[in-house]
Amino acid sequence: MPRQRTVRLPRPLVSQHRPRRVRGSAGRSRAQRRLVVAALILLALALTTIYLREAEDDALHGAQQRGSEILTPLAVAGERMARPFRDAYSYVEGLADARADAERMRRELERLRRQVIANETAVADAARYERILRYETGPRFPDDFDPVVARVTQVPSSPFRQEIVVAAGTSAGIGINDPVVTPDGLVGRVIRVSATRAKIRLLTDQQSAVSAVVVGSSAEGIRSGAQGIVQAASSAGAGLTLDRVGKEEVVNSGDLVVTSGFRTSEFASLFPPKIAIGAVRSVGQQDIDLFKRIQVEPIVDFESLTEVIVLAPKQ
Amino acid sequence: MIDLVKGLPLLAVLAVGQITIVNPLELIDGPPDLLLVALVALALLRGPVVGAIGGFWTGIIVDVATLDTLGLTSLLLVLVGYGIGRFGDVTTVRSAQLPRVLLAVLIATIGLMAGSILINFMLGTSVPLGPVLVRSFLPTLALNLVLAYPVFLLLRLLFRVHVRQRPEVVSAG
Repeated sequence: MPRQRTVRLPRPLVSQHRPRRVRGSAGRSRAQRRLVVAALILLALALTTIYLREAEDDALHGAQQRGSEILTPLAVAGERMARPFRDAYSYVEGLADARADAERMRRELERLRRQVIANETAVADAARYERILRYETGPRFPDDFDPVVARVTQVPSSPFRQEIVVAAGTSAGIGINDPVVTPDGLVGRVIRVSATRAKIRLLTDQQSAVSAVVVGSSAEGIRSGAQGIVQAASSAGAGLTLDRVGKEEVVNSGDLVVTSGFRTSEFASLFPPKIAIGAVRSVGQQDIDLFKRIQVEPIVDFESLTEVIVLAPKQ
Repeated sequence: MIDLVKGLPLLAVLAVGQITIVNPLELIDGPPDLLLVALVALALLRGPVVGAIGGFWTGIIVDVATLDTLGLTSLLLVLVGYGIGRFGDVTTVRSAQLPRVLLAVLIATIGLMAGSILINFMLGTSVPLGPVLVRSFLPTLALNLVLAYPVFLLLRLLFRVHVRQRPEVVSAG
């Protein structure tokens, strides 16, 4: 029998040279091969057909059950052998899953925390805007002015310079010296303005001064009369003082101080009347003084200003 | 004959191992079909007749062990074993073994899945194609491809196959 030889050439994946000539034995072998495969296919089809057509207690089902019983010990042994490995795999997989779960839950917690903060901020914003809206449409809002609500973008950088910057300017109708309020009371006035921003000097700045009047209650009812000038206290953070109030005037602790909004033929206050400034904290006077010494607690919380209303005079 | 004496017990053990050990493993959603990979390797190494007989035998073992319809898995695996054996006949065996084996496993896995779907369809069993393909078939295919070459090398060692032993291939020379 001749030795089979192969050509030592670079060969592609699929052989490009088919067997050159099929010899007699090879042909027989191929026929036998096809016969075997055809027989196996027929056998499989026959098994399937009989299996599907016969009853549960017939021969093939019985044989299958007996075969299954024979294989059962093998399956049990295999399962026992594999169990430690499977448990180890499950443990490792469980650890990985737990770590992934922890990471996922941490991210979820962070997301929910941000959501809660956003919700709380939104609720606070809504309440603030509602107050602003009520103030704008309420009877306390001064006539002859249009409201321009502006968000505070810069807060006072030092106690000696009580100024803030808001995100609205001339394009929104704001001008120099426009009064600035909140629904609570007076904040200050505009001292500088650009198209989109405005600088506001707060009432607590040493250079601020507002003509004011004390509104108090007595047995006769509401009394109003003692007029003076509200200024920042000389020491930073000590609130406001009401100066130029004569000793003969009656002023009590707790009395409300509002803008007077005075108007003469030559001068007029920059601020409209009856805007709350604060409440009288203490009243004192000495013999050598010409005026009373009145401490005023501002009604506006200057530390937490987020929005203000600039009162733009109506054209 | 020697091939069958070695191969059939090996396939039987692998069938039981596949059912009891490998299938319960929840690797990336679909378990590897180690049995199919071994059958493909055997068919590539030993030709279509051994492949077909091995497929028939393996199918019987699987159907008996799982109490499924007897003969159905055999039918599919006979076709797979024979087809891969023929594929082995018409492809070179000395060079480019890796792509040849990978291609054979790819064809066999896809063919077996397609055949299973077809037979289930013919028998009136509804098969949710989407989940089967995405959740089970693709991971199985990937793992089969990973296992293909190592299993092929192991079986080649076991059967001590050399290219020139293949009687069916008559090369030019």
